[in-house]
Amino acid sequence: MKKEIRNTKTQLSEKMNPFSTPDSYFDSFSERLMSRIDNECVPETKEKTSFYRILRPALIMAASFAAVFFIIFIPVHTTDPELTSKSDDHTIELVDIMAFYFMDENEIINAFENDDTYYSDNDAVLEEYLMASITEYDLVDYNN
Amino acid sequence: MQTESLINRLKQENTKRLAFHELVKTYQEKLYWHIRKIVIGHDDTDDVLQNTFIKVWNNIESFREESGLYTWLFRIATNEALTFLSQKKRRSIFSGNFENDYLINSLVSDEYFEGSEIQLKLQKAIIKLPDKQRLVFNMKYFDEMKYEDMSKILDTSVGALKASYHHAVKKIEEQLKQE
Repeated sequence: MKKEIRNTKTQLSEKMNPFSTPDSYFDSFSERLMSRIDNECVPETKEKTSFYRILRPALIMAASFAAVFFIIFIPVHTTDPELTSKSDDHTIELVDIMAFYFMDENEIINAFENDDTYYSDNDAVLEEYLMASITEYDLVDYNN
Repeated sequence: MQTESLINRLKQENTKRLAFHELVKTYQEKLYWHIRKIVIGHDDTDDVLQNTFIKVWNNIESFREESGLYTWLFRIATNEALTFLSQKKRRSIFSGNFENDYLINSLVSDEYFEGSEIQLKLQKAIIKLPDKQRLVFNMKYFDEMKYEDMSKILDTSVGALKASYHHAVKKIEEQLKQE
């Protein structure tokens, strides 16, 4: 097995290394390398990159949540009239309940007595309608 | 002791530059020839050697002294050379034998290859080996490196290295018989 390799090695022994380099390559290599390091290796840049790398997954996740919120939540709540009116009604109801809770009985009675809108033209129209359409017999039947 | 002092100076900001120049002067030739046998062409070797030393410059603070400076440098150089080849492979539209074709073209067109016909044949046969076998063959056959040292650099057991070398020799022998 190794015989042929050994023969080849003997033939190659005069010049084991068939590769060469340009003249004074190793003399100038260090200088070329240092100038490349001076141009490329800026420590501030490295710090910025590593800081960004650490924050990157969290930033991506936050951006994804924000995107989902803007795409789904906001359009639904601004365009659906049912949801919008419901939320408005709830707000009004809550304000009324809170106001009523903090009033005493006298304040409530005064509020009804002083309310000009309590007896309106609509009430007069309704009274006239009832007088015209309900007979005495109807009233007797109702009382019985 | 000399290496220890060099490492200490490399880790201090005020002495780093001068110590690094000393390190490059000491190891540039050994690393160059190690890389050259992997990537074949001189220009590619120059790129990989520069990348190797830049990696050393950027990571010298994290160097753990128990692994040995020589072993650490060779390990970085080997990884850089193999990464370079895999990048070349990835960028190509072709897969399969691309790496072999690229390396054989580099060998044939390289103006800094001055080998004879038989040396060219041998190099072509070596190029056709899988990466790991090629590495082991070059380090054992040309550099005459001990299996124990090779084991530290390649992070592979001595037994596995011996097996790799054995397979490599067999394949080269077959290749040479065919031509």
